[in-house]
Amino acid sequence: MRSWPLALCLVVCGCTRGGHGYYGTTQPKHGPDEVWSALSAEPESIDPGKTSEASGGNVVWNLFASLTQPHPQGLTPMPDIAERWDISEDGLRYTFHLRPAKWSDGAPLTAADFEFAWRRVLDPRTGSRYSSFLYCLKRGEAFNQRALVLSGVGDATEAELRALLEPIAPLARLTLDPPLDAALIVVGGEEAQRPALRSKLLRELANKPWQGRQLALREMEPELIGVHAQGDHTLQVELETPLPYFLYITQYYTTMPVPRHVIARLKQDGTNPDLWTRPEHIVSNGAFRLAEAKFRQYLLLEKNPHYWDAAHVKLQRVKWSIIDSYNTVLNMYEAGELDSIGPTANLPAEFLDLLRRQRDFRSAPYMAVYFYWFNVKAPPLDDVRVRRALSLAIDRKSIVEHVTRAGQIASADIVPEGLGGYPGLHSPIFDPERARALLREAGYGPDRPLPQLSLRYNTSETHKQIAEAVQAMWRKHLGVGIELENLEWNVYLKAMHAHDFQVGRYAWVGDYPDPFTFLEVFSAHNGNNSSNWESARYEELLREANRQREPGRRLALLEQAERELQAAVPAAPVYVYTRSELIKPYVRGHVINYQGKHLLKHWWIDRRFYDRDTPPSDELDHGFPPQPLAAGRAASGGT
Amino acid sequence: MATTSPALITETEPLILGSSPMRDALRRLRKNRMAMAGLWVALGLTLACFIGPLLVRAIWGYDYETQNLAYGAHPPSLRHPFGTDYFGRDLLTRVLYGGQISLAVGLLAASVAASIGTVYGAISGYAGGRIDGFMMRVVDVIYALPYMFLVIVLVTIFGKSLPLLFSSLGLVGWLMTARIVRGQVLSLKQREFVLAARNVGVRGPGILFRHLIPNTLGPIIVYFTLTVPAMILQEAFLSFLGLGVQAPRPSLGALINDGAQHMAVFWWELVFPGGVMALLLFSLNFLGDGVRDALDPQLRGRT
Amino acid sequence: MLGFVVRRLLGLVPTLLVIVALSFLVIRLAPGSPFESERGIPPEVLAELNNKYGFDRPLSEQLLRYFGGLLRGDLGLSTKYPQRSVNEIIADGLPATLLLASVALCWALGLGIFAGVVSAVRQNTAWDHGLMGIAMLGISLPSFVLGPLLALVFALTFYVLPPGGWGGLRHVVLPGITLGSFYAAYIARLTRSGMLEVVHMDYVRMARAKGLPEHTVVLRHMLRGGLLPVVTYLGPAIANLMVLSVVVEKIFATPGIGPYFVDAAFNRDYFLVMGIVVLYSVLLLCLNLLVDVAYGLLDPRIRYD
Repeated sequence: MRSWPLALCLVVCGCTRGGHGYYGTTQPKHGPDEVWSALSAEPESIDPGKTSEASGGNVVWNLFASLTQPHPQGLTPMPDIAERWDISEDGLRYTFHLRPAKWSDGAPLTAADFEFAWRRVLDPRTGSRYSSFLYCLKRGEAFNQRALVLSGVGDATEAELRALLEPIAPLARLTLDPPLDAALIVVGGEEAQRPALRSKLLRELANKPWQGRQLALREMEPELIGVHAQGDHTLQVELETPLPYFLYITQYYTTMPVPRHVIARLKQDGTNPDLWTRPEHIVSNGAFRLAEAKFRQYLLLEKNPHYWDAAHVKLQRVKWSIIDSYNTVLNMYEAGELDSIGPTANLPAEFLDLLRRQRDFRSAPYMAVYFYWFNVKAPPLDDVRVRRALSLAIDRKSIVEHVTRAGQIASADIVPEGLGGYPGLHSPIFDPERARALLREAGYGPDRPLPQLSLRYNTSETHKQIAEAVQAMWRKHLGVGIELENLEWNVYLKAMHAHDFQVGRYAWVGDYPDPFTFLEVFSAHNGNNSSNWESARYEELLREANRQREPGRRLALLEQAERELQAAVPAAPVYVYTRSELIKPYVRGHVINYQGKHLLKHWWIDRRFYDRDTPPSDELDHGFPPQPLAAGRAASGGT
Repeated sequence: MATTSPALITETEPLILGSSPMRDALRRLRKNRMAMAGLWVALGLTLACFIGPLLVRAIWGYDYETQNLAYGAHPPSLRHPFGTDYFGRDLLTRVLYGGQISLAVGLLAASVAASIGTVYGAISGYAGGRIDGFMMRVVDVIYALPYMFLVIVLVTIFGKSLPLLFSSLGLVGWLMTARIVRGQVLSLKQREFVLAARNVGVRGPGILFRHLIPNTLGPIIVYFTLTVPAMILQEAFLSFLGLGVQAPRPSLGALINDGAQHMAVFWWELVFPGGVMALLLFSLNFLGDGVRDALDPQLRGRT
Repeated sequence: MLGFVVRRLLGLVPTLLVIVALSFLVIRLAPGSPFESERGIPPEVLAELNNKYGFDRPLSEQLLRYFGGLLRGDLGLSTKYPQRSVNEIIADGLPATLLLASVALCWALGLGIFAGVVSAVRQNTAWDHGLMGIAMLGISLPSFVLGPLLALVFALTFYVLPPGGWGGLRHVVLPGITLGSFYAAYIARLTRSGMLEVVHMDYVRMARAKGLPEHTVVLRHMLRGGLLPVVTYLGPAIANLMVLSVVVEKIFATPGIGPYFVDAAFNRDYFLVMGIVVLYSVLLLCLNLLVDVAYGLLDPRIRYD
């Protein structure tokens, strides 16, 4: 391989591509009723109750419909299967009125389907990894933890009851539940021993006279969860505590209904009911139905004629190819084999300078924050001054401008500004002077340098680039050496959960456009809090905020909570994500929203591109009245 | 007893008239122009890789990890003869350092493979019978395990470090050497010089190390010279999967991998590391060919 | 010969058992569990999942259950794709990998042997040096460089072939050539040197002395000598090819088994990893047997007994 002829070749090649301002060809390679898109991985599951990752999630969004749906741009909840809803004064009770709707096989869709689905998610036997999403329902968490119901307690106190349990199950958690005249008991201790403990408790306390009362212990039945179908078209929901953002939760795929009739039929036939999502069995209630699924090759969706809003859906067919490498996705987009890079692929950073100049480039903020955990129990990170120094020594602007280059927003805040009207703290994003001063204050200097730290991240090109940049920054500004360790996904997650790291890269994608989704990550009993940091005052502030009905007061409390958080520096945020995509000019109705969802029910193909090359317009034409993002920030179109 | 793949190299006949086989081999090697060219180029590259970075630092002051984010990627220029990468790091330095590491990995891994394989194969061949059968069966078993799987698991368990990398690659590469050496020993052990040695009273290990193994050196050297480039390629392969040398240390494989992905926009990131690696492998392969031809008395149509 | 084959086949079984047991233990040694997720799973759910796959039993019992499954032909369930069994996943991916490997092999053998023969026959001419030079290039260029280069030229400049995906003959061309080129180069060199090795042999000189036409001498007599080293090389070559296909499948998004393996190891999808290991092992052991048999057929001097 001699350099010069090859170089010449490549230069010539470079000149002959994409001459008219778009990246690659703009001639559609298929008919006007379909779209070819891509997913980065085979979906692990397209059962709405079990999906927990991006690929599966995106498929489920388009196959199923829940009570509400997000506005394609602003993400506010709009009616979907639920026509309208009433919320009680205290914010604890929601009544959803469902419209007449059908499954894709013609069977009627009723409130009972929702009730069944939600109970199923909370049933530990289902193995749903997102079951904690429905812990907001009354007794949801208890059911998921196989609580036992001790009825007949009358006015006994917690202490008395706990004394009763002490000899048999000392680690059990007990909560009084007055409306049931009962106490809920969750056994604790080693996983392996819990079933035996439960049986023991049931035997001892099944029917026990105690202090003049008749106690009866039984397993908790799903009917006790705060969701009930009343008739075919009304769904009653009861929450544990008032949640201002509950309607956002009703958009989410965990709350989507599943076809009881199909699952029951499979069980009757003796087939494994988990296989109901296979193309030959699957039935859905959303804009599309699954026509074909070739494992690791593609998924084929077809328009669902039974969807209540089918008139609005313009595409007949969607083909999602499964392509693992981002470079390959980019190449296929260029060659016209894909119309969009899909919702899960990213544009490689090195190409961004070139791509940003193309007319089919789109970029918008994405509701996710990139940050580094600090393990606050691992010296020298146990000193808050050291943590703050490290955080201040990251030149975030440089990273965003020179490393990631996709228009991300440099930020040292945990909560991105604009979420549901949240103003944002705007903490300082780079202050090497102050950082050095803090280190000196903490007692470190040239004669006592900061010991080498280890930074762990999961294997990925982007994370490697950012980590290398941060490594260089910390050495340059603070003189501290960093050892980079890239762990592959599984090992990395385990390390994070086990607090086995000093500095660890992480990102949190918000589940709903409200500051709480970011703040709750740092709560003490949140399994995702890897920093070992907790604060009772922080918990109290969060709880207090959710008790507020008035949004202004609530946001003020959340801001206070974030200040508390920032003072302790359990993590160093680096930037707020943006989502950058390429999409062919003949695809309309697509807007990059704050969660980066591809809602294909709004897309359509512009037939003019079958005749000649037409310049694009910024028409959105998704049928909804235009609405700014929940962030209060308009999406930027292509240049 | 079933044979496994026989050696590709025929045995070396000792020549008469006061000239050792080694000296004859060297003479033949020196006459082979391509091989000598390969040797000089390889030596030159090695020298460049180890001394070059010092020179570059003296002239321009670059090292392989200092970033210049604002500068970013630029094509070759006077300031940066090979251009810069995405982080503004000088590519010339990185290529030279990468060459160091690739060469080190290649040589060390090949050495580990050669040593283990030689000893194992010699013992197996000499022992013969059931022991030989068992040892070769072990080789078959390990051979049947997909090597990459071994490396992935090893690296995941024990973490990533350079010595571990060398060992993992070497551990998997000794199998072929073992087979070849065993084949050689099998055919040699019936020869007169072995019987003579045994009559004089030399014991097993002595026969192995002083008589048999030296006579199998030919194929071993050949295999070694051809294994080095193979190991370099394997390391590149592992880098593609993210298991090779870790950042910010460059290795030719990692550099080429990055370059291949960005070649549409940053062609120099592929051309220079690729060119150096190709040159290195070229020269090593020619050298290996020459060594093999030199050690083989049946002249292959060249004088 | 038949006895030899039968004995080898019987010897396969204990070898396979050892491989399975070894791999099983090694995989389980690796840290991490298949159920780690970014969100953290509620403990009850985790217990349920562990029970379903049998991970809460002692290791020896798990191994025995696995062997039992193997005898029935059941390779277990995948942890990452819960509604598919390992059998199904492998059955889905195997055709693509086999097709890719076959195309690569045909390319390698066809181009390689042809180039080697031409080179040997026209020894020391421009043809010889030129072809061997290209062969050298082929050996020195990794597939993850060649692949993108080919894609750049044929898919992105001339829009002739697709840069990835699967679905028809046109999708096999680029990945097949990328995968096979290294082996084509190696085989060319082997063929050439093998043929040159026999060119001085008595039986070749005899054939020439008899007055046989040159191409008969080449094809009927010299080629055998040339093919010998190729056949020996085929065993390890195909093994390597299967492993190398991981890279090529990743570059061209080919839905084969290669990427499964890497992902499965990363995700600790134990049964899937074991299934692929078993598959590879069986394939390789059979291959080695075939190679030895072919070698025996080609070289009349070898006797197996």
